[in-house]
Amino acid sequence: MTAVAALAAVPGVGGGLLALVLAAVLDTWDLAVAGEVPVDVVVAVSYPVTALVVLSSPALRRGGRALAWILMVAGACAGVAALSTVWAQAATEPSVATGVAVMLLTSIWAPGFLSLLTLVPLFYPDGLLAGRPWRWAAGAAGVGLVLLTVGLAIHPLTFEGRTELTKPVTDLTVSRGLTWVAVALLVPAGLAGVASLVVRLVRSRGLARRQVLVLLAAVGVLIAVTLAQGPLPSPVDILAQAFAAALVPLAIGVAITRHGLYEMDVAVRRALVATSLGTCLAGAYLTLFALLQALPQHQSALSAAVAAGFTGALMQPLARRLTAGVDRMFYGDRADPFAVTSALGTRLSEAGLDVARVPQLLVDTVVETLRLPGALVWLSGDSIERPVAAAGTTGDQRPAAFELRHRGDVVAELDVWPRAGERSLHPRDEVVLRGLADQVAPAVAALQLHQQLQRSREALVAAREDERLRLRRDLHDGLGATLAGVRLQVETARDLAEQPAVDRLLDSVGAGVAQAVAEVRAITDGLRPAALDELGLARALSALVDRVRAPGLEVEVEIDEHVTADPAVEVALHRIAAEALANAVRHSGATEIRLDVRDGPHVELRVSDDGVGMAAADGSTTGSGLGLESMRQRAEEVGGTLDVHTSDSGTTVHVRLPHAVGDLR
Amino acid sequence: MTTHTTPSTVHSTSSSASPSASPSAATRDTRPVGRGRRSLLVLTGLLACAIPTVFTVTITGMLVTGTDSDHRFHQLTGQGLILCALWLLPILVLLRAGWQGRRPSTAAGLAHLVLMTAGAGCALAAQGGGAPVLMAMIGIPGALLWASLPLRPRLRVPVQVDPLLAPVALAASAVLLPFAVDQVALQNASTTGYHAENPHYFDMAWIAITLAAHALLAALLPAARALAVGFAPAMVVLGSAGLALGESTPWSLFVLACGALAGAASAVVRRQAARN
Repeated sequence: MTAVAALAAVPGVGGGLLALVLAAVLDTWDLAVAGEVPVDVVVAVSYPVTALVVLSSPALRRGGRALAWILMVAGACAGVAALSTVWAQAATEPSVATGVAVMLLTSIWAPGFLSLLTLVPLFYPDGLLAGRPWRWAAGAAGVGLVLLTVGLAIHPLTFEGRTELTKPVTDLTVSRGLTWVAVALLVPAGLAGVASLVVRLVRSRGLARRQVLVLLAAVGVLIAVTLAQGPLPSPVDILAQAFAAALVPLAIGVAITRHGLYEMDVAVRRALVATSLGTCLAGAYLTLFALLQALPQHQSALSAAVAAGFTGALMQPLARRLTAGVDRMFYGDRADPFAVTSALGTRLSEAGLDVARVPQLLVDTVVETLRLPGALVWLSGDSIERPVAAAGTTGDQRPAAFELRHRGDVVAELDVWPRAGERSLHPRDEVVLRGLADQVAPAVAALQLHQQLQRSREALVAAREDERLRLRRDLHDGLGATLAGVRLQVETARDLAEQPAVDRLLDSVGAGVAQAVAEVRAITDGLRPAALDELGLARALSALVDRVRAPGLEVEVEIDEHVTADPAVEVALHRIAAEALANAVRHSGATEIRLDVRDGPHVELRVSDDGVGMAAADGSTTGSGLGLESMRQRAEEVGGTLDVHTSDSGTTVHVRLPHAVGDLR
Repeated sequence: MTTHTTPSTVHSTSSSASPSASPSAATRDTRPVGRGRRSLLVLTGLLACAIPTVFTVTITGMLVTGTDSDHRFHQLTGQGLILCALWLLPILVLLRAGWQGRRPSTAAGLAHLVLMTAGAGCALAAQGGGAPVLMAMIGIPGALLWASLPLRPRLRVPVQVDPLLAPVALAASAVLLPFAVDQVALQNASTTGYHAENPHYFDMAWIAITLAAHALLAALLPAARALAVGFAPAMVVLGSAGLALGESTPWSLFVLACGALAGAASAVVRRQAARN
């Protein structure tokens, strides 16, 4: 099939290029209709090349083949049109052959050019019509193109190139009849083609929609430029039309390569390497030949031989480098595993010893260096249904999974999605990805251990706070109440006692019991701020703010009234707020302090002031002496985060805490 | 402003700056510039910029006023605006980097060297019209400029052929170098008349070789890919001027096509570089 397609491309590509060479050699650029030659050549070369690329796909379906053959025929017609134009222009005396050339040049452009505006939009992007009714439009376009070609061919016309040429067969009446019928068929077919694209655009989503959009834009430009041919000056009109005509195969090429149409990136890569290599060799040969010819006492044969020899020697290394370059374009550094691992190594060293960033660096490296669409990392044993790192976009396809193993245990899983148009990853991708997975597995194992440690710490903190809450309640409701009762009884007994010695003794007992009550209260307050249980979180925080109000210091507070959290989180929030407010009052020299508490997916506390900032407040310790470390520890203990932004115009402490310990991850 | 962030979660909201290059690399590519060095840069910069600036102003004036209108193609291209751009821009980039104490880019260094070398080669091949004297007047300030730079551009850089730029570059060289050879021959043939005194053909050969070299370097060296950004518009201007001002249509069309293709290839290459 590929050989047949290559042969079928010869009339288009060969005819177009030959026409270009002949036009240059015979100097026909200033003769009649010379402006049509560049447009025909662009169509003649670009369409068959696109068709060849599509037809060389191993996964090509019937519809795709039909679209490719439409492009091939369009290119062949344009090639013949270009060649016959140059031939007719350059002819110095009339003959049957030149007459046939005139018939061809006036007619065969029609199927070459008008099929782009009728058949291609109808069959794009999958080569199948949008529905059964569209068969009428396709049929009308096919019949109309044939009738128009015949009608134009036999239309009486005198062609003026270097000499006057006439057609061997003409009939004005038949020509007019055929042309009118053809126009009557082609205009609705063209409108139907555009409508077909619009229908597909409305019906489709995602990738298919983008494919249609690309061609719709190209066809729109082509129609606009074709309609504007009259007003445009020469040679702008020629260049614009050639550019617009080239946009259509370019759009199809973009759909093929970028959007994975027909799953044929291998064919596209080979075509790109072949085109690039061919052009490079031709360019190198011509350059060298021209330079050798410029030397004094040159000989053409020797110059040609030396240029050919040099070009031949250049071919193999150049092909290798171009193949590597094209591979890099499509697959990043897949062919160079060292480059990929080196890139990851560089990023890891830039990140220092922060193992928390390793999964993200891994997926970033995978997506960027291998041009893969998306990657995720899942930590093993993580109860949260969320990847620990993600990059790129993940598709509906099933990803390839790579285990990250350390000392025989699976510590994480790397999920990677294949490129658009690929059903699975290439074995080379897999080799590189396994290498990357092995490289980062120890670091990810360290991260896993770190996270396990953090979870254990959070569990301990939660248990500790629960225990403290229980103890506080027991002391407050049990021992505290008992002591209060005893104290009351002692005071009553003292009132009833008549002997001074007993009275003194009961006074002493009463004082002892009162001290015991005070100590119990101090212990319960130390276990957990009393205000939290007595007032609730929101009012306890308001009470904190009330405590710092003073003349010359404006304090604003805004707290979500129904904010709630685990006991441990409440304690952390209360203590951090107290510490931040105390810092602002004692060290910042602020005239305005603001405390905000928001309840959402997490609890957010923000304490800001307009003071001198931490550096000025405590330049020697840069914040460490201001309870920053204790605030950070309290936030970390419950799985939260703490950010401090400070400048000479104020300080903001921003804390995010989970509702339940550890839920923020 | 300083920021302290708790590094307790994987998706950390850390705003601490991650260094883009290692400190050692950073120190190698910058150097403090003292007052003396800057004075030297100003002096050599003035010397190096003097002739191209005068050229630019004069040629722009000629284009605006229509002076020597039968030489408009040369005024737009080789003798004029393209030459001035190829000449002035690398000098300005070198000067700016030097002033800031940075190492100039490889692209700028190569562009300046290529311009000097191509000019010297053309002056050797076509010695009429005072070309060798002109090259000496350009070459000496250029060499002084390099000598006054605190850090010189890296010229030994890795080679990596770009599959899109390479064919465009070689196709362009196939049309530009024969053109340059023709222009040198025409200059040598101009022993009397206007072009014997005004070496326009030498200028055309000079920019043709420079542009071809820019394209080849951009295709071969990742560090010089930026040269394609200048090459593309220069070719578009050259081709358009050729079409508009009566030069050979196929040659002009080919040059224009090379410019358009180089622009497209350059855009693709830059996009890929940005992704990496």
